[in-house]
Amino acid sequence: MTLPKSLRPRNRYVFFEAETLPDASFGEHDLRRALWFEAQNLYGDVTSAETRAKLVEYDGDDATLGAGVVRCDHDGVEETRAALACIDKVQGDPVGIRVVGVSGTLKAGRDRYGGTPETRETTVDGSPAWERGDVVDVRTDDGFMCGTHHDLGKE
Amino acid sequence: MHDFVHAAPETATTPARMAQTAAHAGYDAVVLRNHFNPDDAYPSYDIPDGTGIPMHEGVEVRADGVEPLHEGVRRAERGGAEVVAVHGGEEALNRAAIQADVDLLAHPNRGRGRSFDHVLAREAAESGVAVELSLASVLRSTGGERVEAVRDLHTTLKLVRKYGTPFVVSADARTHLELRAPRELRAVAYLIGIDEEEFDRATDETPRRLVENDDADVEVLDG
Repeated sequence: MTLPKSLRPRNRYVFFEAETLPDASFGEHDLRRALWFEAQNLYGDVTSAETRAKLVEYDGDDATLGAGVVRCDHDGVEETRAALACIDKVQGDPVGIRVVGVSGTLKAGRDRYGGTPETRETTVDGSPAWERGDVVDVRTDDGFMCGTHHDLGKE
Repeated sequence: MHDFVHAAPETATTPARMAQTAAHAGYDAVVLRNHFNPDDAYPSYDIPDGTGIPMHEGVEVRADGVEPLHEGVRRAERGGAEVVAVHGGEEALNRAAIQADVDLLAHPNRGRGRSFDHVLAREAAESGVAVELSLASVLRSTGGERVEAVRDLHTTLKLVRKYGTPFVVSADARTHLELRAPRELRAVAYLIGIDEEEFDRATDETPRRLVENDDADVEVLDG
């Protein structure tokens, strides 16, 4: 059964990037659940049903910067932003999610917002480090020191 | 848009990284406000040149009594802090901060009970002390703790609206991962009842005034 076009739900695709520490290990499934629970906790079942926010894809292969897409109702973009903003940890790994753009179709969004810089492993003063563009996370005794090339005096 | 953040040496994110992340997320400027305990050495930030967006060097005086608080504020002003904030939450300290005419009273309602009331809201409005509505607990806690935080924000919001107390809204980020983009912060603020116009004033106009108004004694004329 197909609804007439004017009555079908209208989607928006929220493209985001998710910055993590290099040792983060969560995957697409974990993030999908995190978004689901965050929406439930933040504004409950009724608004969740209207918003229809659902993670449709997430690529967390990169060590420090994942990227993904949430599909939601075209009237639910702001609620989706709020729920994404309130995800501060996934499976115990701290994460900073930032929306990079909103699009009416997956394809248009991929063309416009696809492609994030890659992280590469290196060393800083003998410590393992992860470098992405201008930023560097260096392993320390109790975690990571997160800086930039400016801090390392590279520029 | 501005945000008020903590950074290294207090946390594991350097000021430069905070600036880089904030610039990428769409901020115009960042105000550093590391905690400063009057018993300790005055904090210094390692801010390299070329961080992309302006970084303003402020401090958040955290004292456990009224006398140390005044001492801390004096040292911060002498030390040239661009923004002098006070770590609020206890009624006596909130009052002392307002009387010391600091720039910003951070999270005044964090303590248990009513630590920020109508009297303080009016005094803050009269002396031009801005009050912070910190979204930290909304963004980073859940359950009962978040419910309480939202309720505190509602109370504070009601008071600052009634008395016209200037206020800022912040994510109170301690690391680059805790920073949220302006539009996400706006969406969360809207959800808890801060309207668009208030949000703009709280993240742009008011922080700009705090940063530019270096002389704490300048009278603030409300138009």
